[in-house]
Amino acid sequence: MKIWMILGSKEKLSTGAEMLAAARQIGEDRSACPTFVFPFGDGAQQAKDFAALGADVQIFAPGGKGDDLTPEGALFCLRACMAPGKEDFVLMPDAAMWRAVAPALAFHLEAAFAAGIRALRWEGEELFLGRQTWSGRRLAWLGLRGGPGVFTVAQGAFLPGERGEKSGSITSFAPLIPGGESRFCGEEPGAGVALGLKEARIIVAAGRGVGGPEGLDLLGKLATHLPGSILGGSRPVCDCGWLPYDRQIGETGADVAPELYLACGVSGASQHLVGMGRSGLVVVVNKDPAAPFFRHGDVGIVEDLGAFLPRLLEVLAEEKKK
Amino acid sequence: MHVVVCVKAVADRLPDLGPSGQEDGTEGLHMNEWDSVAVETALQMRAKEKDLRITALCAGPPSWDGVLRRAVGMGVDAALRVDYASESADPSAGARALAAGMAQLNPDLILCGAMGEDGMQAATGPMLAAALMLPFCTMAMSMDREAGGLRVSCEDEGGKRRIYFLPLPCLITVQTGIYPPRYPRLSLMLKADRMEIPVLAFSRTKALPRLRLAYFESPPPSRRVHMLTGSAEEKARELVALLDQRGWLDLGKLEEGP
Ligand SMILES: Cc1cc2nc3c(=O)[nH]c(=O)nc-3n(C[C@H](O)[C@H](O)[C@H](O)COP(=O)(O)OP(=O)(O)OC[C@H]3O[C@@H](n4cnc5c(N)ncnc54)[C@H](O)[C@@H]3O)c2cc1C
Ligand SMILES: Nc1ncnc2c1ncn2[C@@H]1O[C@H](COP(=O)(O)O)[C@@H](O)[C@H]1O
Repeated sequence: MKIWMILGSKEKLSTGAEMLAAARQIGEDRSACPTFVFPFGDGAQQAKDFAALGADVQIFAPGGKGDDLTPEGALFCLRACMAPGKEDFVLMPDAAMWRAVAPALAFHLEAAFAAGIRALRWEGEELFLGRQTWSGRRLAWLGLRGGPGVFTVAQGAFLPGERGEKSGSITSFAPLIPGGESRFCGEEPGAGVALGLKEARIIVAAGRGVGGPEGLDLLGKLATHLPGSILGGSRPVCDCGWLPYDRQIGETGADVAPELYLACGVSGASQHLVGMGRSGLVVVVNKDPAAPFFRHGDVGIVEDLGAFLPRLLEVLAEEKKK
Repeated sequence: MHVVVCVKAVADRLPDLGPSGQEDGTEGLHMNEWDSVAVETALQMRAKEKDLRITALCAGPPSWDGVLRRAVGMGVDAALRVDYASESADPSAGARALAAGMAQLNPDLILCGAMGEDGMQAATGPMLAAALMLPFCTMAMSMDREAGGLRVSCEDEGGKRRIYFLPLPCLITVQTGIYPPRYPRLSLMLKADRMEIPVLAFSRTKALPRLRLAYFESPPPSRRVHMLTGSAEEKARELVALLDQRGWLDLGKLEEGP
């Protein structure tokens, strides 16, 4: 059994360590040999660090194409440098361009595909893969008999294990010229992060459940009672224009860790949770007792915000008079 | 120019915990959120470009006709359903069925949603591109017509964007926020309800990866939640007391605006 762990040239060592942990679980007792592959970019600098984790590393000889690849070009490179057999597996980070490339690669290889795997175990000859579905409300377990398989690995889901006893070997292969007709034309910063959002002591986060601009006004009023607080939101809230995109929290927004995260009408999709999981106290208000966010909060309040927020502001007004 | 939009139906109800059962076909269904955004994107393109035709395509059972009708109600010109019942947990099966539909439709541009609300795989678009050997990109936040193709801005980690030029024909998956999807128009919905939706038979020729959906669990919690109880007022008071206790509350600022 061979396990390829594909990484981009700017990947963090921790991503590699987590991926190796997943690979070791797949390869458990099956004389697997997990290998890091940097199929493009100049991975030479990182190669030693990754080899020290205890796996072999394959890098491009200098001259490889950098990060200015299209998904099509990246796919071309991967297909040229790998030919997994029936027993083999390919892992990639569940992030950015890999999400585009991994399913296409799986299709070409006629390999099984699973996105964002979070848990693994063998039962006899069947490999079970756990992944989130339904906005994080269901963990689906897939059973796979026989490879090849291409999986993307959710970030933070696998605990890095011990380093291997000895460093892996480092080999390089000749650079590939990516094919394809699409072209990379550059990067743009996007909306960025609002001033003060990352530093805020308190974030009052609005989800689609606030219902609209009026609901946000009420949250704004609440925020005036919480010094050092700022409003943030889920993606749909920003898509609707209720808040600007620079207030979006999550995978495609800001990564925050305030002392208090007050989530109002946010369902708790995994893409939102990755942006706030390190917060101190998490208070969740949602009218649906089954909202996934309640599984990731410290204090839960099942209420309809339309009624609860005015009531909360009344209580605050009374307290002030005291 | 012919734009084909792939739309899928998603069950209104969560699947039960435990061994995965077959849905009985009587469940309520709705159009996948990302696919209504893809339909809107095609409609916006048509508003700017003469002679642009839009077909909505799905690979699903007869009960999925409803989402195709909704796409017609939003304004697409035609619809086609590839008759297909999901038989594997592997998304390549659906991608092959859609590819069969494409062979009939011959599109210049294929739009898909970035991901399905149900399985959250974000796999079908890239797989369909692979099946048809097309250039592709995912999570588009904007796209502009240029000579011979499209300039597409795709979302990357942390909201950064990567810009690509894709020649036609190509496949693009769209992310929410590119355009807010419109509601179907009543007059178009009436037309859609009367319309006969063409069906393409499909029989699988390739063996599928041996991947099965075994069962559903509740995801493990990352924190132990303490649920407040009582009336709304009691919960509000308890929350205020908690905020006060931790020194997060400033009751002096009541008169200030946000
Ligand atoms: C590639 C990708 C990247 C993404 N990145 C992000 C990201 O960075 N950030 C992000 O947030 N999302 C992101 N998403 C979207 C994510 O998958 C979810 O769709 C989104 O987080 C849902 O937002 P929400 O919880 O506000 O809305 P919904 O899922 O619609 O939830 C609304 C919640 O409000 C509750 N509610 C409704 N009415 C009321 C009421 N009156 N009172 C109280 N509660 C009520 C409901 O019970 C529900 O739980 C991304 C998706 C993809 C595919
Ligand atoms: N059976 C299907 N019929 C039509 N389109 C589909 C189907 N399955 C997936 N898609 C398209 O592929 C996108 C991603 O779906 P998924 O790979 O399930 O996350 C959806 O937003 C649709 O545009």
